[in-house]
Amino acid sequence: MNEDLLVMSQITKIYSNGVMANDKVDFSVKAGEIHALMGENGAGKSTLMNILYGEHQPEEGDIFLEGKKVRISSPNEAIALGIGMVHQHFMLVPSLSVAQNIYLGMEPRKNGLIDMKTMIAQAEEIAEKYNFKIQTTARVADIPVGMKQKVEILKALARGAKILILDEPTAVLTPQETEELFHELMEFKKKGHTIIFISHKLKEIKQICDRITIMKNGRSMGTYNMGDMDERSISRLMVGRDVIKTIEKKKANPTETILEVKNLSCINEDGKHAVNNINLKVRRGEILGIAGVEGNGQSEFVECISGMRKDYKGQVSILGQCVDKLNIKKIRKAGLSHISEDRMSYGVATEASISDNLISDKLGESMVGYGPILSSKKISKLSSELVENFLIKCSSYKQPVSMLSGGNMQKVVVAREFAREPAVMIANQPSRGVDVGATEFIHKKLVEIRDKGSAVLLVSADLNEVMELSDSLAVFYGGEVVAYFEDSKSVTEEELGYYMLGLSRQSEEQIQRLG
Amino acid sequence: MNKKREAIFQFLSVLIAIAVALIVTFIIILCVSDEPVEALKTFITGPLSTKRRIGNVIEAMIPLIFTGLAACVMFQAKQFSLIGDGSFLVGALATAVLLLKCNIPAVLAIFLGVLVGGIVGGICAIIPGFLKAKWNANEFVVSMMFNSILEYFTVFVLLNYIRDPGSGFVASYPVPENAKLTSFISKTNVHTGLFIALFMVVVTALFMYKTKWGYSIRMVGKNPKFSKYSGINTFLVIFSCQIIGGFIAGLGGSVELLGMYDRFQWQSTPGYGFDGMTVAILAANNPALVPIGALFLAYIRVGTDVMARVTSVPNESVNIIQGIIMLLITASAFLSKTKHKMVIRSAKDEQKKMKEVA
Repeated sequence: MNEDLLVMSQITKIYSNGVMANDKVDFSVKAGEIHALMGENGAGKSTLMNILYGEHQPEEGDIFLEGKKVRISSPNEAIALGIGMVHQHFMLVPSLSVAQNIYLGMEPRKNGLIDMKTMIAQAEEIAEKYNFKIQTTARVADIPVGMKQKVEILKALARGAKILILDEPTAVLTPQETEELFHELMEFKKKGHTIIFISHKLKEIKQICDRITIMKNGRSMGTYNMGDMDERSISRLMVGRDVIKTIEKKKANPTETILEVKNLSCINEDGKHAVNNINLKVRRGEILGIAGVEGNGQSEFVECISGMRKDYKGQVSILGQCVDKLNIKKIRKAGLSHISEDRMSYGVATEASISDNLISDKLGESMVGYGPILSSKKISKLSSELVENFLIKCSSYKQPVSMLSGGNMQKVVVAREFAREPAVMIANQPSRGVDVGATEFIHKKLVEIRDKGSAVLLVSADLNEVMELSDSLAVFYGGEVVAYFEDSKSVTEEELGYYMLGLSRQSEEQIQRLG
Repeated sequence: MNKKREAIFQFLSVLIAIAVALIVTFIIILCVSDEPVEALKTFITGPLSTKRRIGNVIEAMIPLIFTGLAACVMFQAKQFSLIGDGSFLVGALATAVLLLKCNIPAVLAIFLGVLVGGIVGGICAIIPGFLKAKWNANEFVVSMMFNSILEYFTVFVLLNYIRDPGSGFVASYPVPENAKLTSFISKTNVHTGLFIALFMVVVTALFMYKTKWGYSIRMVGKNPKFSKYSGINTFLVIFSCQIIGGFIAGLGGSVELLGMYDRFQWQSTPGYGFDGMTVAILAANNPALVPIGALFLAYIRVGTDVMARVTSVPNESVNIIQGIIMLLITASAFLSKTKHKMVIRSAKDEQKKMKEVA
């Protein structure tokens, strides 16, 4: 167990947008260990693992497996070498069954045709071998997220993976599902598998990993034995300072209702009730958090309020003005700002410059021009101000957004949405894929805008974020509000987990206090 | 990689594409011609050999500027519509009908003639534009089919309403003299339409980069979801950019008719809409660069024309050049390795600078 099973040496990778994602990184893993790879977003963890999995080619550096130098130029070659990867975003075919997904591309055949019976039998056999309770004939579209992840892991195991890379596996899981996953990972370890575990979450890593490699700004900050490290020393290496976990804020002092949602229901593309009869109010000067496992109607709910989706029933009003029939431009004019959960699709136009990205919602206002004409002077003034105030790291506001790191891109979004001092701020996963520094900054801004008299609706799958930042808290499950806590401090993480999983539900009266 | 390097790279890749296209064409000329040296010489220097030929280049450039601008506006919004071709034809037809059927006072004739050409050109784009904006019907396919309809519509109008039976070939009655764009360089047909074209270059460039509408068009092209989320009316942008494209192409049709012809005589499209796409690609969709792209295309057009007259190489060879250029510039993988190397060099430079600062 002292022999290095896998060594990556002096890996350098530069992306086509000029970002140096890995700078002479050394990384090694021993056989049969659970090895944590930690670092802020953009530190280069995923890049390093994608190189190991053959999805990217490094500019410099070598990979050695069991002492032999290997060249991995595609995931197929990685799989042949016994390396499997479970991506952060699942790569499954939703319309196929669990067994079909596990054996996709390597289906057992009989007389040239796919042999379904054998396939299902084999799938069950491998699930049993690893103690996975999973129904192999179910359609992937119908199974919960935790199950999907198991399918991904089984997919890798069925292909003979000895080294398993898990890219932020717990990001989408509830606390209970996470526990189960960890239990399974320990089983793998006993069976002799080696696991590389990418995560942001200090606690989890402490719990199961043997050794840890920390990355920062594309460089390795060293590999350590877990026993020698405590949470503080890890976080110091990661960000170069202590992470402040509690968000500093005064007690909320909510006044009149600003955003009111009445009997909101909508049906999604699959014909299911994505949002079912939701009533809620957000008041001036408070942050209402919405917790929930992703895919429980939060996205659709935000789409309805922000005007991205029009096929809903019920009423939405901002400052007493009904906005159901209004287009997005008018809803924004009524006082709504919206940080989208999907930054790359909705939040920014990556090819456009920073200043072009900052003015997109202000065309109707005098901030950017005169009548139909754009004023370069006004735009440059506005852009320099926002770049300065929101600490966007760039060489000039004329730089295309694609040149920025994830955290700075998000700051562009935040700067744009904050610039108009909105009555309602909808922050949907505002710190997703953003480094610790930027996250802290965004949180501070959200508290600031609350104190200035905005109503903030915070939707987040990050329990820590939603519990720390919110003043009051609602839990979504199955498109409904299943719990409401007037004081977000009055609930524990574990309790919240039960509501998020739909295991318990408050009484109607308790929930109705929200509407 | 910074903006300057990016721009240099783009410029170089266009130059290399042109060079490759010319080399391939030269090789073909070497193979098919009995007198390749003569052919090459006339191709390269022919357009500059007489004043009249220089005039030919500028004349050929004028319609290309209009359709090039039209394509730029649509391409900026990522709308790959061919409607410029139909709008050009029908715009010219509308001008002819207006001038032949209505008694327009002499002072207004040119102005109204060209304006109506543009408006009708814009109207042509309504159907493909609406179908795209409303139901996401592919604008490329719809506009291509719609162009056929416009072509036959033009023939129908020409034969039934404005045909001059006294003319020896199928053509309209002569366009009134006072409505014609006059030539201002002796011994050439270089007409005042050139100034209208250059004026439109300035207007279009200002429109695209200095107005909110132009900004919206560019943003929808860069990311339609982002635009919608920001409150930009994407329906209107997708719809309007095609109408604006049609309008500019329609203007081009009128100007070409009033500058170069005595009668309306097109029974099929002269193909300037397609050429406009090449021009727009050469100009990297920047209206300000359209005259350069148009000049280049006009030059090789006249060059192959001269070559065809003097030697046995047919002037269709220009299509080879045009085809290869479009292929190479639009193929995103072309020179991508070189680009990646440039990116790496750039990133390393920046790292060095950062270290020096630290």
